[in-house]
Amino acid sequence: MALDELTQMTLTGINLGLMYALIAIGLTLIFGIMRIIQYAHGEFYMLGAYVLYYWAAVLKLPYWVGIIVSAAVIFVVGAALQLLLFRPLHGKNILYSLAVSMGLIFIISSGGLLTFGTIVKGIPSVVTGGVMVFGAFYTYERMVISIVSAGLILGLWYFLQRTTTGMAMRAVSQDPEVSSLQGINTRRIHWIAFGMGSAMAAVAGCLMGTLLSIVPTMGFIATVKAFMIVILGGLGSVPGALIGGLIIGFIDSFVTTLVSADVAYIIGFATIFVILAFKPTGLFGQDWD
Amino acid sequence: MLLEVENLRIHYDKVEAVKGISLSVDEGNISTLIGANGAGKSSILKAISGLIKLSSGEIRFEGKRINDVPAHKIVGLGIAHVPEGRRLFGLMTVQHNLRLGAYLQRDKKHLEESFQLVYEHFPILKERQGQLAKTLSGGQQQMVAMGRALMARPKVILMDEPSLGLAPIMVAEIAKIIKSLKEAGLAVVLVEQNASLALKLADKGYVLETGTVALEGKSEELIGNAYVKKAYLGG
Ligand SMILES: Nc1ncnc2c1ncn2[C@@H]1O[C@H](COP(=O)(O)OP(=O)(O)O)[C@@H](O)[C@H]1O
Ligand SMILES: [Mg+2]
Repeated sequence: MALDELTQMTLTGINLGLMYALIAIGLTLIFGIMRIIQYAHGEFYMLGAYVLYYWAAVLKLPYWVGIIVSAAVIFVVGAALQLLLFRPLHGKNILYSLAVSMGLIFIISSGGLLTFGTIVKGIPSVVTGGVMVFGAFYTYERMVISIVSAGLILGLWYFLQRTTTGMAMRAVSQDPEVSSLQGINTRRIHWIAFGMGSAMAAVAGCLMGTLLSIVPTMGFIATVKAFMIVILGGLGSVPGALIGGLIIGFIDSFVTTLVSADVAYIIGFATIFVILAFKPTGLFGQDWD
Repeated sequence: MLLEVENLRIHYDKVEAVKGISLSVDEGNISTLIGANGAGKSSILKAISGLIKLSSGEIRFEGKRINDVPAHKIVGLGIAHVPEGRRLFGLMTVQHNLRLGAYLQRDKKHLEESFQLVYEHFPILKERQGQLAKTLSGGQQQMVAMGRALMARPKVILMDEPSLGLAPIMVAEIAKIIKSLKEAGLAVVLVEQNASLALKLADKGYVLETGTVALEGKSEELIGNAYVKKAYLGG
């Protein structure tokens, strides 16, 4: 294997891995705090990409502002869905929220097909050019996207570690009852977490949509990837989602380049099975109840 | 009267766990609820804190009815709850556990004072502030749980079996701290299975048996009571 090829695959692995991590962290945040399986998570990734598409490609408004707008819009949509659909089911059997999130997949993706059409769309790039790294061409666009993804993940980590609301989120994920004894309104934390988790998927959708292309059915694959990652890294664990994202990103990059995308799925799942055989809670997981 | 509970009834599904009990807590006093496992002690504290709904009865704090106040608004009134089994946020540091005790406090200076106050009561916690709570010994965890409650600067602290599972020397340490809280002007509702410890500390005691108050009175009286001696003080 030539050095340029190796470099290319590594850079792609990091690139993909960080974007996957962004989606997966959103999912793991929602699970950790609400203990619900949000199967429609990838739909917010898709919707986020379309918000940016309409903003930047149709309305020709500034790209970076568009990412913020997309995150804000999907935050509101996510928070509203939590309040309307998931709050009434909180504390009930997990199958109820599962049914709702499954229903959301079909409602949102079919709604997307009706509204956005079936034609593949692209979000125009705003960063051009690139640089040679060990004989591989690294576009500035991919570099910027990696930096933005990493920055957001760091930002979230800082938020969870250092702010009172972030601390409250961690507290609620560990013990909601005792959290409320400290004065934390767990219902408020729920919609904030749902909104934030969804917004992270939306930003990932924007970035991925810029690199590749967008279709209304792209959410499902993102959900599958996100689930692979959080199961691998450990449900509810933010570091687990980051490491898991990078692992799946590298597998996708290397195996897809060297063999094919189908084989990448097989190897990805096989890796998960092996890890689960040794550590059933995933790399950074804990036993949930 | 700081805290009053009147005719409190609590059901879990169809089972009545607390069957119409009344109690009262004076400012700056220690009141204790003693009784065997399953007597309903924790349920009473949880009802006061808004964690469980009462079937009937009334809870008043500083004269105001607080039956329907949601759990997250109770601490702001001045009632802090140290739950049974400590229930720390184990994956967080000691400092963050304490910080969450003062979750509603946004004033930096006030927060700083609260930290100082807690570290005065529990100097060891200052040394351990960066450590994950779950890595502490049982006694230190109990200190964090008490410190977390203290951070809210409450008027009354509800303590659910603080001596549970601790070595005798640690129990004595915890007892000393409870006494010093009273000296600092706080009221304490102390739930204990360790009746001799509790009655020694308290001003007033309630003996709970299967959801009812079997006996109540000044602690000295209860300590001298033949039935209490036989059933709870091992002699
Ligand atoms: N969540 C619950 N669901 C059903 N029954 C409960 C629950 N919590 C407590 N109980 C029952 O209520 C009674 C009183 O329990 P509790 O208040 O925990 O007593 P104590 O703290 O004195 O040991 C017990 O019989 C217990 O089994
Ligand atoms: Mg109890």
